[in-house]
This record gives sequence, C-alpha cells and structure tokens, in this order.
Amino acid sequence: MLFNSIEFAIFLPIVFIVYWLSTYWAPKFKNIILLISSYYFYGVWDSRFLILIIASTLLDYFIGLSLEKTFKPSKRKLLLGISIVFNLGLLGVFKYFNFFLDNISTAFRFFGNELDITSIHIVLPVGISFYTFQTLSYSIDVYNKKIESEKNIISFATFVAFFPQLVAGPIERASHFLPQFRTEKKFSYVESKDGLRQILWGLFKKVVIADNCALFVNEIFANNEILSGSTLVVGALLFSFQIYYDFSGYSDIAIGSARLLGFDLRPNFNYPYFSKDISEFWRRWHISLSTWFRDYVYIPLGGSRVSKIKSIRNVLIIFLVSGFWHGANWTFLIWGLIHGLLFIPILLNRKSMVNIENIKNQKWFVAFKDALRILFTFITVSLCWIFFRAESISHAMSYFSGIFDVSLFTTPSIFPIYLIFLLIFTLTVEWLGRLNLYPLEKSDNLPIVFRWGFYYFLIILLFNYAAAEQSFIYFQF
Amino acid sequence: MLLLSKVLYTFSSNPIVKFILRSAIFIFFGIILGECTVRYFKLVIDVPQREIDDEGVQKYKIRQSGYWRDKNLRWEVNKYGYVGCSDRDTCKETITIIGDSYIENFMNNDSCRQCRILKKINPNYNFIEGGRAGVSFIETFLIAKQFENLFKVKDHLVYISSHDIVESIAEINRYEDRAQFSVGQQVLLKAKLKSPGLKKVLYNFKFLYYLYIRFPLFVAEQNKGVNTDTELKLTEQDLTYIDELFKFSSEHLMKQNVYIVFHPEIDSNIVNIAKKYNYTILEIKQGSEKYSFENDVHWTCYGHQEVAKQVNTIFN
Repeated sequence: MLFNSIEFAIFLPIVFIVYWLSTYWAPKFKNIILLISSYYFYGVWDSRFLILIIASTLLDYFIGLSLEKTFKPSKRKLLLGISIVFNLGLLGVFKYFNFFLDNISTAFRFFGNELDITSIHIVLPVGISFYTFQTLSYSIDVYNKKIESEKNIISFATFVAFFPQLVAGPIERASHFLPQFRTEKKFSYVESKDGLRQILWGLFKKVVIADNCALFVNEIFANNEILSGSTLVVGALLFSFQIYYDFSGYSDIAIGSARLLGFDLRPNFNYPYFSKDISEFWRRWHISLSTWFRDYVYIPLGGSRVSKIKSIRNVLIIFLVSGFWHGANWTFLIWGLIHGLLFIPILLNRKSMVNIENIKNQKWFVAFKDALRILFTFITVSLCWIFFRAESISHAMSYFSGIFDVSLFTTPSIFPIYLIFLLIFTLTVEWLGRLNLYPLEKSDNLPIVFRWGFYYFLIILLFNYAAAEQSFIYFQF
Repeated sequence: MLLLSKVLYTFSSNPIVKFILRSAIFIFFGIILGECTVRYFKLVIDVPQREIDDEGVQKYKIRQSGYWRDKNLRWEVNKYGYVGCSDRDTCKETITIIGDSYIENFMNNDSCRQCRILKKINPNYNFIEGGRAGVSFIETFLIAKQFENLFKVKDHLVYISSHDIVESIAEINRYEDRAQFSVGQQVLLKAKLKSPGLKKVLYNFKFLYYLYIRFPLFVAEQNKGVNTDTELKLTEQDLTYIDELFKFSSEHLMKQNVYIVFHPEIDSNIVNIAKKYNYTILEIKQGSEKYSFENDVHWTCYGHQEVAKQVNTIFN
C-alpha cells in the first residue's frame, strides 16, 4: 500500500493503537506486533516476495550469530562472503538479470554472432535494494566487530522488515537502529506530535508537488522531439523537483511514522537544492545511501587517503555503483559517472568539505555569490537528472539536443503557473525552515491558531491539488 | 465532581490519551473546515436524495434543490419526484417525457430540457418530465403508469438507450436499486434503496461525500452501474432476454399511447424486437455534429435541440 493511500491512513492508526496498547499491557509482544504489521504491509504489495525478505532475514541472523562465535579469520570471511553473495545475488537476479542478458546479447551481435537467449519477465520485489543493503550492513558491522550480533530473532526480523522504511528507506544502520528494538518504549507526546507533522509535510511534498510535477514531466519527456528547448528546460527543472519532493516526501512520511511508534530514523535529505557545490549536494541527498557507499565501499577502498589516481578511481567506483544501484540501465551509469566527474575536481582541490554548515549559518538571505553558486549547482544537478529520467541514452541525448537549440529562447508551450506558485511556496517554507530536520519542526513556537491554520492550509492544498496517483519513484529501486 | 475531575485529570495527563484527544479535536475542526470549504467552493455536485415509493419505483424526495457543479446549473425536484417540467395547464393535453440522466439533464441549464424545447415548438401541449439517472426500460413504463394515475395523459415519450434496456434484465446484471424484469421468474422485481443509512450521511455531510468520491475505498462497488462503454455488445443470450422483456411489457404494461424514442446508435436488434411487438418507435438519428459533450456521453444543449426537432415529427 502506498503511503498516500486511504489504506495506509487506516492501517497506520490501527498499528499505532495496537502497538501502544501492547507496550502497556503486553510489552513483550510489541516487536511481534510490529513484525506482523510489517509483513502484512509488505504482503499487500506482493505476498510472494515475503519469502525473500524472510530468507534474507534468517540468513543474516544466523550469519551474525555465527560470526560472533567464530574466531578463525578464513571462516569469518566465508560467512561474510555468503551474506554478501546472497544479498547481492538477490539484487543481481531480480534487478540486473535481464540487463546483463541484453548486454551480452548486444556484445555478441557486435561481433557478428547471434546469441539465442530470451529475457525472463522478472518482477522486481519492492524495496529489495533497500532491505538487502540494510541486512548487508548488519553482517559487515558484525564482521568488523562494530556491533554485537542480535540474539533475538524477532527484534532482528523487525529491524529488517520495519514497515515505515522497508520499501524505500532510509537505509538504517544496525548500530543506530537495532538497539531501539531492545529498549523499553515509552510514548512521547512531543515525538508523536512531531511525527504527525512530519507526515503531513511529507504528504504535501509528495501529493501536491511531486505528483503534479509528474503530470507535466511525463508529457514533456514523452514528446521531447516536438517541444521547444525552453519547454524541455521546464521539463528538466520540474523533474528535479519531482524526484526530490517525491523521495524526500516519502522519507518524511517514513520518519514521521516511525516517530509515532517511538523509533528514530536518521534523516535522509538535508535541503540538497540549497547546496553550493556537488560535494555538498551529495552530503545532503539520499544521505542513508551515500553514507552506506562511503562506509562500506569508499573507505575500504582507501577513500581519499590514497594516491590521487586511486582517489579518483575510488570516487568513480562509488558514483558508478551508486548509479547502477538505481537501476539496470546505462542511463543510470552515465548519471553516476557525470556526478563522479563533477566531484573529482572538488576532491582533488581538497574543497569537498568547505561548504559544511555554511548555508545553515546564514540568515534570511544569502550573499549574491552564494546565491549564484546554489543556482549553478541546482542547474547542473537538474541537467544530470535528464539521464536519470530518460528511458535510454539516445532519449537523453535527444532531449539535450532539443534543449540546446534556438527554440531555447522562445516561450515554453508548457508552463503551469499554479505549479510554479506552489513550488515557490514550498521552497520558501523550506528555506525558512532549513535549520531544522524538516521545515515544520519548530512550529510549536507559533501560537496554536497559526500553527493549526497552517496545517489546515496544507491539508486543503492536499485535497485540492492531489493529482492522479503516482507511485513513489524510488519504489522501482 | 471531584472524582470526575480526578478521572479527567488522569486521562488528560496520560500522554497517549492527550495525543488522541488533541488529534480528535484537530480532526473535528478539520471536518468542520472541510465541510465549509466543500460547500463554499462547491467541490461536490449536489445529488438529490432518493426514496422508493409504494410501487417500488425509485424517485427523488420532493422539494429538494441543488447545483450541478456551479450556480448556472441548478436543479429542483418537482412535485412528482423527478427533475424537470411539472407545470400543467388543465386546458391542454399532457405529454410525458420519461427517461434517464439524459432527460434529467443536470449538466445543462433548464432551457435545454426536452420539455422546454418541445413546449416552445408545441405550445398547445403540456410537457411533464419524469427523468431520473439510471432509470431502466421497465421503470419508464412504471413511471408512465404512475403519471396516468395522476392525470390524463395523451402520450408518453419514453427515451431509451441500449443500456436502459439491458439494465432492465435481472439475468444480465442484477441492480437492486432499480426495478427489473426477471426472465426466469417472469415477474417484475421491485427496487430497493442501496445503503440508505450511508446515503443519508453522505447527502448531509458533503465533506464526507467528497472524501468518498475522491478517495474511493470500494472502487468496484462504487463504479457498479456506471456506464463507461458507450458501445454495448449484445450476445445472443442478451437478445433472447430482451425479446422476453418486450414480450412481457407488451402483454402486462402499457403500449397504446407510448412512443419509444430510441437514442442515436441504438442497437438495430433492439429496434427490430420493439417493432416485432408492435411498439411505436422513433429512432433518433445522429447528425454530422456530435450531440454529446467531449468528456461526457450526455447530450449538450445543441444535442437536446436536435433530438427535440426529431421527436417533434411525432406531433406533425
């Protein structure tokens, strides 16, 4: 069930009530309730793939226990290897099988041979890219002795399947998330209220902004060959907002839902479009994934503490892998590669950490120079998103050639005024609230009339502008 | 009092209770705000409340009025329980116009009704309308009979489409909220009002109705009875049932002063069956310009005028 559906609006309160009732009357069952709810939530998507998530859970649970009991390095490596092969194998089969098959076939054809292979129609299990990475991080952390293995199978299974973050993250680390299943939970009025507020903001971003952007983006990308360059620019910019508000909206709902249940999930976005360069963008965008790759791929490869050549190699590997994680298509690889190439000069000049906290420290307005850098970074990122959205490389190239055309200087044929106003409103709210985890976090400082008035205003916009339902973009990953 | 205040204090100091109470208050004020917003901006169409009369015919409760989308499209339920003309000059002969949502005509203003247009062309007759969305072929005869019981009627103009005929037959699709004919039992099945309790709530709370339409929980149920296909594909079995339907209605229901006005592009098999049972029919022909809206199968004002011109040939 989608977060922006009536079914979830019914499901969440029921789980909330049953869960908190159990913490008072039957605290031992609280994780079981969460686990059943999570499996039900996932089963509604496709019950066939419950087997996969259960298999991944059981495997990593027993590997975790075995890693702790085993001291022989070769055996420990073997256990870790089994976890990596299984989890990445799942991804490989369900996500990349046809991609590899098609490319092998293309390669053979290039050399004049025909390979008679048929693609298999494989349904991609929802959330597989997320929960496999989550369980993998657990196995790696136990192997590295950063954490102890989880003895309680229910706690571990709930950690893997926790429904708010199961299908599209944030990807949680065991060191941060697993202990929360062992601690006694006490209902916090402040946390729950804040969680609801975050859900509201997430719903607004997803339903009002992202879904409405999608209507125009789909039309523009489907007809890019006949549209003017200026219209294509509008399409690219709208897609930037669509993907950001879609994914960050989902993350807000996930984090808010978790807070309602007394759990703390790490933030996944930190106003990335206010970044002044690409390195800052990657510190603010899909934080759980980028830190995962940093900690489990980049740093083990040596990070930036190796020679310049190896640093460049490591950066490119990270961005290529990150691109590939997003989908089995060359466009994602190209997207990742471009970001890697943009990142390298910043890394080599040792300026990757320069813009930390800079935006935070500024008040209402930024300096003109900083505003230009934010704008430049945003435009660069938006142009890169074209590869992300395009169906193929040729589609992306056709889109680019359409932009850089004389018609770039004409009036766009598609320019939704109402959406522009909504975007300005949302960006303004985000800018004013950029010091907080999410913009409405500190709204308790406002009188209740203004606070509730603003919430009702968002809800009215939600009902008024709820476009035709679009699924979350990151579900396809 | 002390005990009550102690209990209230205990409850309100409990954080979960406080949270639920505050949420309930927020939702309560939200519903009020939602109700005001939906009514002010007319975010839902006003739909007349229905009832079943003693003869098992569904009609609207009298003395209701509302708006279809905006203030230019006002409807009012007449004293007979239908939307449309109801004025009668006793010195003139009366002709009834009976049909479904096409005759009900919510989507055009009042001047585009069949009764208004025909009255302009034929001022010497009274035209009384009995239009109700979803009315079946069988129901039109029941409505005609009811009009006959109220006043003298010269002729009944029964506007029928292929869907209205198919919806009359219980064996093809059972609609409990419409009077239907059961081919197997050879009887008329009376209508029953579906979910009257829920309907009463939705009629009075427009915000809830808005949520019901906007975020359907039971899509299949809510869409049941909605004609999404303009073209109907009739099987041999369907035609056998339709033959039985016409046979039954010609034997048990009125026929003499009834003109069946078939909508454009009626299935020719149905026309032949009607002729077989000696019904007086008029087939409306589709002109070069479309009679219906772009995104709605109902007739536009132009469509109604063209249809009325063709119907008028009955009086010449």
